[in-house]
Amino acid sequence: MIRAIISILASIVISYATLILLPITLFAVAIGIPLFLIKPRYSGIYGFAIGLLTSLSIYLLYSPSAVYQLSVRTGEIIGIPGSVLIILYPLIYAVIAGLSSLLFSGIYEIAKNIGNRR
Amino acid sequence: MKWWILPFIGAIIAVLVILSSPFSILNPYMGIWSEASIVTRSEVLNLPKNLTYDGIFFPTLKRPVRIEVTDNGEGVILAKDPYDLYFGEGYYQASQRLFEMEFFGLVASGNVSSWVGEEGLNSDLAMHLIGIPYNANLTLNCLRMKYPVIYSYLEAFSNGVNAYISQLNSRDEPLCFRLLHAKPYLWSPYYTLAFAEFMAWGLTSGFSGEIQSAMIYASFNYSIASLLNPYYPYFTNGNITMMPGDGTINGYNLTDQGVNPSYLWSLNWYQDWAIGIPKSTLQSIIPLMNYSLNNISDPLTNFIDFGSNSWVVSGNKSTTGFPILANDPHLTLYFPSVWIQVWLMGGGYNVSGWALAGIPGVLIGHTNQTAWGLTTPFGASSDAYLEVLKGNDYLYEGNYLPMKHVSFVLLGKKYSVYYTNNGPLVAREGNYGISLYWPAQQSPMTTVVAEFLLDNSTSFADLLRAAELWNFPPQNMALVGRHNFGIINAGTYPLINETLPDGRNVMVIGSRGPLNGSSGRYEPVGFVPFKYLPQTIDPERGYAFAPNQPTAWVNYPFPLIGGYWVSDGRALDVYHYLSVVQKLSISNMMGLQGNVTDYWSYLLKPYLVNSLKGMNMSGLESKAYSYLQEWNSTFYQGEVGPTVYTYLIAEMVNTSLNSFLLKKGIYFYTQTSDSYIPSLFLYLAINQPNSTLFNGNFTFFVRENFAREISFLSLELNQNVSSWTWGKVHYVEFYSPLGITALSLGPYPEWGDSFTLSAGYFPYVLQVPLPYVTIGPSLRFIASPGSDQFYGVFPGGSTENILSPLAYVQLNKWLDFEYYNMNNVSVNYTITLK
Repeated sequence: MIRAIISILASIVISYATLILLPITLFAVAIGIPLFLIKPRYSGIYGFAIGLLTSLSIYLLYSPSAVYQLSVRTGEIIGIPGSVLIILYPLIYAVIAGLSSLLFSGIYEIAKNIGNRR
Repeated sequence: MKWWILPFIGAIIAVLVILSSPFSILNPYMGIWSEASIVTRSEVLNLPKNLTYDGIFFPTLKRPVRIEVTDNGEGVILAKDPYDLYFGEGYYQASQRLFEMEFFGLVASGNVSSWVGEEGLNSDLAMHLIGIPYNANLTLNCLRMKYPVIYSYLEAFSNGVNAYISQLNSRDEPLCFRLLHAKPYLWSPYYTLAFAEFMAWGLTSGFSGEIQSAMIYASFNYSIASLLNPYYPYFTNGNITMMPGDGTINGYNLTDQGVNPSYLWSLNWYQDWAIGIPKSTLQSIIPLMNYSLNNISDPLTNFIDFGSNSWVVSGNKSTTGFPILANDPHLTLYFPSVWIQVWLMGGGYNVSGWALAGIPGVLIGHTNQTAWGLTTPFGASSDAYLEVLKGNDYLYEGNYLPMKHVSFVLLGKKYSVYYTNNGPLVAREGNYGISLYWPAQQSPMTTVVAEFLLDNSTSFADLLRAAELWNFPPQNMALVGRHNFGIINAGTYPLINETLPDGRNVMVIGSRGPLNGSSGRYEPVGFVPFKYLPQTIDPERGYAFAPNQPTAWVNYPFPLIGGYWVSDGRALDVYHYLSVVQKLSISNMMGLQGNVTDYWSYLLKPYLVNSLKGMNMSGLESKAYSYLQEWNSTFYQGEVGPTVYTYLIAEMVNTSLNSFLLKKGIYFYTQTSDSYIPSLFLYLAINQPNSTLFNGNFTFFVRENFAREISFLSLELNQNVSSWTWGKVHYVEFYSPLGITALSLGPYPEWGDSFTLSAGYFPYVLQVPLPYVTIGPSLRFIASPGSDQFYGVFPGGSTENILSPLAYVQLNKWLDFEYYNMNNVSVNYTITLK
């Protein structure tokens, strides 16, 4: 239990660090690394949730009306509805985080099984 | 979990990462959303006023600089030394308008394609053809050598801009940088000067007017050319010209040269003797003339100046007891505005007003003792020349000479501009080419020096000294001191020595068509001396005005043959008001700037109404007629009369002028906003009601078009005439320099039309709504230095961040014709540079 909590907290810290320091979605992969300790059936969900909530929470830094206005104007330029524009990056980020969590915990589980067989 | 699933997951992650890379700008922290945090800091969290951003250290500063951003979006820069002052101004401008100034800096340098790709290529080519980058370098070298102090101010400004850029992290970069995936470049005096040259070219007359004029003449005949494009606008006289009187200046006139003005102005200046080109040749080069117009027009940005207003009154005529100045320059209404409001204090300066973003100092504004404003005079200060070419050689005085050329690379491709003795070849077809003569290609732009002299002026004499250095673009400088007032048409006007058919010689300004470049006979022989520039200083009648009307009347010693003026509607409005009202207050001046009476509609309406009287009308027509009949020629948003009048004129244009001009490819005439069209209709209604333009009968012509108009409006609007208000068809839009609607402000319903002092320009095009107004009063300014009263407003604010209320803090006041007292400032936040 403690191991799970520590890995979730580490994952959250990594998520904020990558969001704040690195602009591209690639680094969402790092969120999954600490979650390898969690069983694959849960790790994907945790990774996705951490990716989504941490990235959405960044919007709290801004005024909601300013974010809305910006999303409408930028959406018009890019050709995507404003509401989709707000959720787009967090969603992609979360999917990558979820999949990477699944990947790392899967690798860990398989490695553990191989070890046990030996 | 099965092991073979893992590679699939890895592959999906890889695909997602690759596909999502364009969305990196949407990262909630590093991406575009940080634009919203700037608003949060100062507006939403309601941080206390006088919030100070302290501790920004710059080693080049001599002493601390304090920048106060006021509630109305003005930047007050306080310093102890001129270097620090301009450093502070550079820092302030960059902190508010970095993208705007860098974008226009790049456009002017002919390199915007490096940011926007192929879309910017034609703009870049136009800049190189006109020679803006080369002219900027010419001025740069001259200032460095001859005006080192002024040059050091330009450097200080650049250092301020770069100081801001150096401490800017990518999160704080303005939105447009991130949308274009561009990075700020380091500023230098070159970009300041390139933008100044770019603006100067936008306000330079001559070349285009001469080409357009020749196209009309070549397509038709002299009588139609004179009808559409008379030498002087209809209903002009010596009371209306900027310099009142017959044109005599400092005791010198045409008559003194032995030339009879009536004779001179009765001549056909389109003929071979005047331009050195026979009509048959003009007819054969119509496509070439069209190319030349297209090649030098910037498709990306547009700074064409349709008009501006200014007037000054004496202390005797003013309720303040001191002279008053009013100025509203009409420029493209961008968001953000091209203007940024600043008050510079310290180092010997105390000047407040508006700077062009990217250029230090104050261009329109006031000191404690003086005030000045600018409008454009439409006399030719550039000329078009027709060149005969063979390969890369041009014909000059019977010999073929090699053209010089300058090469440059854009988007990896090499381009060259070829030069004849007259200037760059802007278009070529077969063995003919058209070159552009603009004196700024040969002489440095000392207007930059003049601006610093204006900013440092303490007397009317100082203002006149600054006017002497003002060369490009020529401007009507409206000037007031504590006791003196006047307007001077400062600038460089090339003179051409013409031999009249009677054998006399006279030096004229401009022409009615391209001049023969193969002959030295039509080359400029000099410039109008300063003492003979059109001017009116402390005129006896107690007022002077310069809303783009002809600057001098027929006896002016240097006839303005290439004078492509506006219609004089606004000048007539100002003249009638100032000549009637005995004493004028500041609020009278504000009222006049907001005046929405169209002089032409006031005179033309009775002829229209008379023509419609007795017409067999439907119910809708009858209602529309009664609105027109009762209307008093004002263009307020809630009125129906302006709509009925405007669409009637638009129909008349469509069935008369368009029907024959468009067949010949003459599109520009009816696309112009402050055109001669209503005054031409009025002139013909009075003098030639049976004109072929009216199909031989003005009355029937008006009736037919009225019926057509009502049918059109009932389809486009509705069947309820009372709802056809002006505010439903006439809008103003403040558009982004990038042309992106999502980054624009508006549209907003707007008062006025193309001929009212409160200008809301549009061409007579049959569409509902009318084409959005995109050019208009870019600022309004009233000043009376003697009584220490200064008022102003502009449709913008400090920042270019569209999410910040400070970006358009003055817009509503501008729309409602209200003003800020420029003496009262309330500080919103402060930045201290150390």
